[in-house]
Amino acid sequence: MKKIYIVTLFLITNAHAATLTLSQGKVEFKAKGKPALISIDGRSTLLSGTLKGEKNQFDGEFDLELASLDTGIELRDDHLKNKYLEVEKFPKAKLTFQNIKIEKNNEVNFKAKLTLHGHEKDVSGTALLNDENMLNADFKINLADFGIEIPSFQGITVAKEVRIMVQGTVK
Amino acid sequence: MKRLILLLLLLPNLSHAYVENVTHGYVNCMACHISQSGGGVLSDYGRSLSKELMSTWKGWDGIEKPVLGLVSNTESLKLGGNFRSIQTHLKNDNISQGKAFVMQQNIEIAARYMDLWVVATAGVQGGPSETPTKNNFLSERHYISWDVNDEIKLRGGKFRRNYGLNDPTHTRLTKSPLGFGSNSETYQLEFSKFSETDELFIATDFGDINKPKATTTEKSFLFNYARYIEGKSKLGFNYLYGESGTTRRNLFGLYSIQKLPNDFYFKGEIDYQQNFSGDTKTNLIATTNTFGYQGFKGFLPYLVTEFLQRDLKKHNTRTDLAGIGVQWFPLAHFEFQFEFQKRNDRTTRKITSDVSWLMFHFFL
Repeated sequence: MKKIYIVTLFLITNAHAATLTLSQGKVEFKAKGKPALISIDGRSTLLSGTLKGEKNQFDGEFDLELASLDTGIELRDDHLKNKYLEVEKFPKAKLTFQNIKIEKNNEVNFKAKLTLHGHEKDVSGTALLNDENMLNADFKINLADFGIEIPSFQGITVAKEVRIMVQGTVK
Repeated sequence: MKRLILLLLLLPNLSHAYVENVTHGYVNCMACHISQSGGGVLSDYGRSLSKELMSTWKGWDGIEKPVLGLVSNTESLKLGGNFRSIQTHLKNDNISQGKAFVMQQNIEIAARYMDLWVVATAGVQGGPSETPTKNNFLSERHYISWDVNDEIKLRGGKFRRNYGLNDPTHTRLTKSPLGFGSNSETYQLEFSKFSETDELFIATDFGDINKPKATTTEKSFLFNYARYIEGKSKLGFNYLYGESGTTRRNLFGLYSIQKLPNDFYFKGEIDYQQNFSGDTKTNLIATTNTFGYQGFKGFLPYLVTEFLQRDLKKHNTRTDLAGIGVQWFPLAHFEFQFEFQKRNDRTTRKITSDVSWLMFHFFL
């Protein structure tokens, strides 16, 4: 009886569904422009989302307002948002996690679905939650997979593969 | 004559590259310039960047195109050119003088045929009125460049040796005293290779073959390797071996452009030279360091410190200076630069000078 009580108590304790809210979220992307190998970086702090789950297994969604992306050059932002991402038609990007396993200070591989530019595709990368509850996720996408035309301007063409970094505090 | 030499040493540059743009992700020069080592005629992307990134005001549509938008480049023909004038002032115990003159006036054309670029400038020699060759015809650059592929380029002709920071101020103590001052372009064969992480230049230099045979111009071999750091900074090493008449030299250098937090940047260079002339060996050290701020669009204040000792065995061969300056790019095509320096030259005695200059630059 005592054993059953302890096991039941253990299960109840660990069966609490936790809801983690993302705060101070930000997204950065890094792309290369060829042939001059320029580094094109963009960022936004309008990232929000929650993770729900038990133990270390979570489901959840992160949303990004694409109109808030900033690359540091106005004309480039204009082209990015209006010509390539078409943010009026597709204002948000959504990253959907299912059963992502998050352990503190343990980098894990994850798979998620990214909805961008009206297309949904599987993406995979790595995620790390540190002692300060800062979650860092890092993955790469191929622009063509999301129906995004390869950006090109005055002889500089962006490489197909773009690296995306997601960061935020989850509590 | 002494005054002229001193004045020439204090003048800013005729080249045209803004290495601070490394901190915006432009780790090599080719996004903005046809020349793989920077300077000279701009690519269409470089013109756009001069308007979108570098200028305080955007002006009108098409302003960035040649001649303020009156002319358009084509895929295979790019137009460039520069007009620079300067007002200088120099004051110390011996001299107090100001001068104003045109430093540079030229046009530059780059023409492309398949993977070949042919680039040439034509203009007249600038400088103070005492300059012996003033107003003579001058072609600072003329070369053919072959894009072997996206990574490898070969170039032959007359152009600037790609040593150290391609800083827009050739009077820096790491430039003129080391042979990289105004009109130091030479005839070279150059191999260059670029990757996402680094760049390499190897060149052999035949000197300026236009000069009379009696004039001894340096022939040299040059190696320059730079590593990109997180796409926003750069660290480079270079070596030059040169021979000129009865002298030869080894020149080693380190240079760096670093993106710092809060829109600050650092660019610096340090060089060490061993010079052999007969049985005499002279060691030289030179360094230039600049801290700048890029927080105001098109308006770049900076602090600069420089040091040169022409012979490490002799303290009376030292020059050091500290300066404050600002570059302002109000609109595409227009640049103003002002710098004030406190300069100490130690010869038989220490001479402290106040040096200042205001430069105006218009590029086609």
